[in-house]
Amino acid sequence: MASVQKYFDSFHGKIRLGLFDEEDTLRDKRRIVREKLLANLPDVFKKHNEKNLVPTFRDQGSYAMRTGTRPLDGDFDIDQGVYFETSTTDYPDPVVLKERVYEALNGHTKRVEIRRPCVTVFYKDGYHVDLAIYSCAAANADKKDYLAMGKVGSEEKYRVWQESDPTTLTTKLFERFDGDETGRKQYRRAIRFMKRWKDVNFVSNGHSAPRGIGLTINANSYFQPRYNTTTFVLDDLTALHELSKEMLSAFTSTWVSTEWKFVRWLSAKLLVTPFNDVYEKMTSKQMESFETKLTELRDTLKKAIDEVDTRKACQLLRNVFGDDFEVPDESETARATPAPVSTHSQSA
Amino acid sequence: MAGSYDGEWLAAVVTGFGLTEVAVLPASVSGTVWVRASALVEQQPVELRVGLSVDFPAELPVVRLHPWDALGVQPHITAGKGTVCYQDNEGLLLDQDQPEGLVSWALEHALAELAKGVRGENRTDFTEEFEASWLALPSKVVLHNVADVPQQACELNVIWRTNSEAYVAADANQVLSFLQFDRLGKYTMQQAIFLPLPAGSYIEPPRPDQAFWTAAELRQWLAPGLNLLSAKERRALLEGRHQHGIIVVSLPRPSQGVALFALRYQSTTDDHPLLPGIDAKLWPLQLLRLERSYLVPRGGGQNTLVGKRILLIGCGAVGGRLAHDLVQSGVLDLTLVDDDLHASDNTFRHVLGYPRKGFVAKVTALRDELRMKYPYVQVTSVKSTIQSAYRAGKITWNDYDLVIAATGNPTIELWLNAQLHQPGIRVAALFTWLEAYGIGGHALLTHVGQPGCLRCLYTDPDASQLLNRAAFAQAGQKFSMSLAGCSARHTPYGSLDATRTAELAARLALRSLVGREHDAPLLSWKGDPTDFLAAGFHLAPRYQASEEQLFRNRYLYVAPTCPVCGSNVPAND
Repeated sequence: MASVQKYFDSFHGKIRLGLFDEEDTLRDKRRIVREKLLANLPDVFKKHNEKNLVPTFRDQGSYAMRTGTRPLDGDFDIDQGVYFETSTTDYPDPVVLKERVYEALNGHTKRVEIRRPCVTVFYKDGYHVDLAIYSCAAANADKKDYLAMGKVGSEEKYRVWQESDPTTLTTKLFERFDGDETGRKQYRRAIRFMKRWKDVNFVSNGHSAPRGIGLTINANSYFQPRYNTTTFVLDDLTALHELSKEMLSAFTSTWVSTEWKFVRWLSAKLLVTPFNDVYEKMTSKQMESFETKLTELRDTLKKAIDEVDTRKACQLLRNVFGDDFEVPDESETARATPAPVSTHSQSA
Repeated sequence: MAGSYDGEWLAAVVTGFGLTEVAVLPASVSGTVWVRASALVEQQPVELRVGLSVDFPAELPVVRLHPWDALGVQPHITAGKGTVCYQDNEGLLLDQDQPEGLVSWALEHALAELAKGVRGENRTDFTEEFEASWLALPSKVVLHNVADVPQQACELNVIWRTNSEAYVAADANQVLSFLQFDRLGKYTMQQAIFLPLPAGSYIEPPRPDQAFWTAAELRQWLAPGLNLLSAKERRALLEGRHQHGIIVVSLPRPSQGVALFALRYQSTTDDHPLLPGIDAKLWPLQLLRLERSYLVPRGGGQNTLVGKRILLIGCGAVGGRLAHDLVQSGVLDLTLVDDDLHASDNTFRHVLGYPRKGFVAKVTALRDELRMKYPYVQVTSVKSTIQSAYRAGKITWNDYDLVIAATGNPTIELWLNAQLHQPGIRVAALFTWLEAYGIGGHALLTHVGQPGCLRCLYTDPDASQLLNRAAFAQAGQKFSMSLAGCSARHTPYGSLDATRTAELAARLALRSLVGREHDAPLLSWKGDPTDFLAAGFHLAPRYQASEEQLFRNRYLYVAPTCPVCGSNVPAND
């Protein structure tokens, strides 16, 4: 096995959000959106003769989970939960509340749009902020948070308050690694690697690519940390190979009633209500392509494991992870004569 | 609230408890408040005195029987004063908000103890507490006992260095090993006989307010031991001229161990007073127990650490503390190897502090310190590097039960590790070191012929140089700090870091010595990285692991390809 861990480290450094200005920019946009909402909402509610509601904010999505990756197309996003202390019965049509948010922000940027799960604020520079609008637990009789679903013009059946608990989801996705910081760190890396693999290998329109949250849930089910038991140095290559292997063996033949046939299917069930499969919108064809590409990934990782030449191994990995995976020069991997003198940190 | 618990208050509480004829007595000079009261113990009316010291209710009340022998001689009643020892004060927490409760509790327990005495239920407690009763007897001299308590009757010697300094010992060497002197100087020697009593023997302690035993009484109490003497022992110990002498007796305690007591005699007929019909004058002697088996802590179960020999290489901050820790745990035979001088730079992190006697060798200073502090310890010092001591034949590895290296020098320790994995070696080895700025410390135990050794930590196919895989500091950084140019380089760490590392190593050493660790663990502790990081250094991924994970993985560092202990190395027979 070649020693490619160093190159996984620099690859991870390139794809993770946080080391670059982008994250600061995202934080700034999030702050501005929050401020605008707080400033403009009172007038909006007043105009509609409704009780003024002051929202509270909670980060969610990959930003909150710290599993974000730099998008290939430069379209950075941040998910923001906006919680209103109002019950689902006060606003039987959830789209009305989304319209109030829309109204408070419209004109603020290039474009604001009500989408089915959120209100999205687009910026010229390719950033956008997704605002998920909630009726918060404190206001509801059953003490549960509800997400406002639906957009203007949707049929009534698509305008619903959907029970949703992203905070608990984050907790559940990470509690597996309590007491194993090294494992948790590698778990986050594996999620990022899989998301970048998805961005590189799938076209992003519609549901042709597996969703990032789906890959995250898969990693929660099938990822096992792999690191040296003495040095705690990570072995990402083996961990990813085993993750892809486990995911592939979790594909089962499932009856899809809409297509009236059995299809090979990998599910990614949400760990909180509504416990649905986040891949449910994918077609059997899309799922088939998912399995094919995952098989390619697994086989490539295996080849990289068997490859003794570090350069060649990195070239294989670049094929599946894209150009951000560095291939070292010949000179860099040439085995140097061991240095006869090294420094140490010991005393007694 | 001092002062609020006066005689009136106490009298009311004692009356409330149910005692009769309660009356307030004058307080003592020290401020203790006293009342007297009548009580019934097993239908016998007695007079009690109850006292509250000025520290009450932070202290239990005193309960006394008056007069002390009103119920005969009993355990747990001090002769003379009559204080009833109704409870061991250690380990008790008193609720100071319940002063009445404390008085009632004390009376209840004291009366119960007295009742037990009357019924004869606590008679064996006399044997248990025999030494305490003996202490109440008047005696002019205290004999220091340094003799290991023999199992059989035998002769012992009393070695008088001065009129007031005397030792009970098998011989003068035993006194020397206690005193840690090179020579004993002038002394006189007096013969003594030692007589063990069999388990279950009972002796009523002599009353301090009455004449001491007669020779006939002595023979009567010691009869169980005397009857066990063989004719040969009897002849050897008791016959011949015995005008005056000393008798040391061991009385097995019901719980564990023995009580020791001694007495002096002057025979009227020059015959031994333990022979029938011989009359003699007897005086009790106090005995201070200083024998090795009494003072030295046990390593676990039996005295398994006695006789264990340790070679300690490196007497710096870690080695110096380690030596102390080992001795305090009962390891008494140490050989110290270090070629360094004990210098002033180290004052605040070396266990020896400032070198007031001038810059002597660390091994010498440490040996002297240990001998000054601890009786019986045997320390050999070798001022030399371990390599030259070995070359000169001063060190033979198999002479020791454990070799400990605390040099802070991995080059030397890797050499040592290879030496101690040579065929024919029988000794286990322990390596210990700490890391810069107190980010952690480590201890590794290794046994010849078994996988797992120091070289395993430096065996890594991916590394292009020798790197310690246990390190918490990222490889390739330079830590030594210069205080004053090249002559005084040191790696920054504190005294507490050295102490913690020494403790980790000492515990591992002891586990190995008593046979509780046969494997080759790597143990590590993690410290606060703040100073380390502030100085601009970087941590290795290993630091991120929890101490629990590190402990769980303690055997997993073994490298199959290790050139010293790996599977391709021929096994040692």
